[in-house]
Amino acid sequence: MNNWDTVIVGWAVSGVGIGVYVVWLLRRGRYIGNELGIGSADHAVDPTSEDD
Amino acid sequence: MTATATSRTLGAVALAAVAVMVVLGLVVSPEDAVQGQGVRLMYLHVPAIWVAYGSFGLTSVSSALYLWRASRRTDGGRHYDRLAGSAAEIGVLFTAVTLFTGSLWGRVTWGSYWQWDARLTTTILLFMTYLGYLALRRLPADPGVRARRAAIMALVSFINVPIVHFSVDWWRTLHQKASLSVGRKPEITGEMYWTLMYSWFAVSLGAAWLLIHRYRVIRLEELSEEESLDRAIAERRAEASGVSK
Repeated sequence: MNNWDTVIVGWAVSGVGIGVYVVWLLRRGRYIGNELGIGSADHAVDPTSEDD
Repeated sequence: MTATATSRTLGAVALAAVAVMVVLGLVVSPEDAVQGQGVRLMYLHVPAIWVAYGSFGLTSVSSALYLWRASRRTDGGRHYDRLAGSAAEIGVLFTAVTLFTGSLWGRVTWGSYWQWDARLTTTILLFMTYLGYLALRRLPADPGVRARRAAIMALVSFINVPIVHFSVDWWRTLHQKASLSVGRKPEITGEMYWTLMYSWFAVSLGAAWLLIHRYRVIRLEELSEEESLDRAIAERRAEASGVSK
C-alpha cells in the first residue's frame, strides 16, 4: 500500500504549522523587546530572567 | 530578545534532533505490513499527543500551585500562571498536530478523515476546551482574578486527559488501542519502536524550547502592559494637573 502523498502532506503541513508558530513567537519576543528597549544600553540585563 | 545561550543551545539540539527524526521516520523505519507507508504518520501523531498530555499536565500542576501558593510568593504566583499559560498553548499546538495527522491516518486506514468515535470525539473536545482556556486568559480582567479563573478552568479541563487516553479501553472504538502502555507488552517492536521512542524525545526537546520562549514572551507582554499602564496613568495625572502636552 503506497500512501506516500498522505504521509508527506501530514509531515509537511505539521512542520509548516509549527514553523509558523516558532516564527511568530520569535518575532513577537523581538517586537516587544524592542518596544521595551531590552538589549539596549538602558536595559543591559534581560528582565525576563527575573521574577517580580 | 527572548533567547539566552542555554535556550539557543537547546534550540539547536532540538532542531538537529528533529532532523534525525525526519530521516528515521521517513527513510530508515520500515513500512508496515498492513498500513504500508501510512504508518509513518505514527511517528508524528503519537509523540504529538504525548507531548500535549505532558503540557496539559504541566498546566494543571502550575495552576494547582498557583491556587495553593500564590499568596505566599513575592510575585503573587505570576510565575505559575505564566507557566500554565505557556504549557497550555504548546499543548493546543500539539493537539492540533495530533488531530490533523490522525485525520490523514484515518483516511489511509479507515477510508474516512473523521469518525465520531470515543477517542476522536474526546480529543476534539480536549482541543476545544483548552482553546477556551486560552481565550479565558485573554479576557480583560484584573491579573489576579484572571489567573485564578484560568487556574480553576485548567484543573477542570484536565479531567478530560485521562478520558481521552483510556477511551479506547473504556469504549468500543474504531481507533486502535494504545501501541505502548505502562504495564502492557508493546504492540510494536524493533525499528518502529525505537523510531517512535526517538521521535518522542525529539518532539519533547522542541516542545521544551517552545515552552521557554512562550514563557518569556508572556513575561514581556506583562512588562509591556505594565509600562503602558504606567504611561497612561502619568499622562492622565499630567492632564489633571494642567501640564499636559
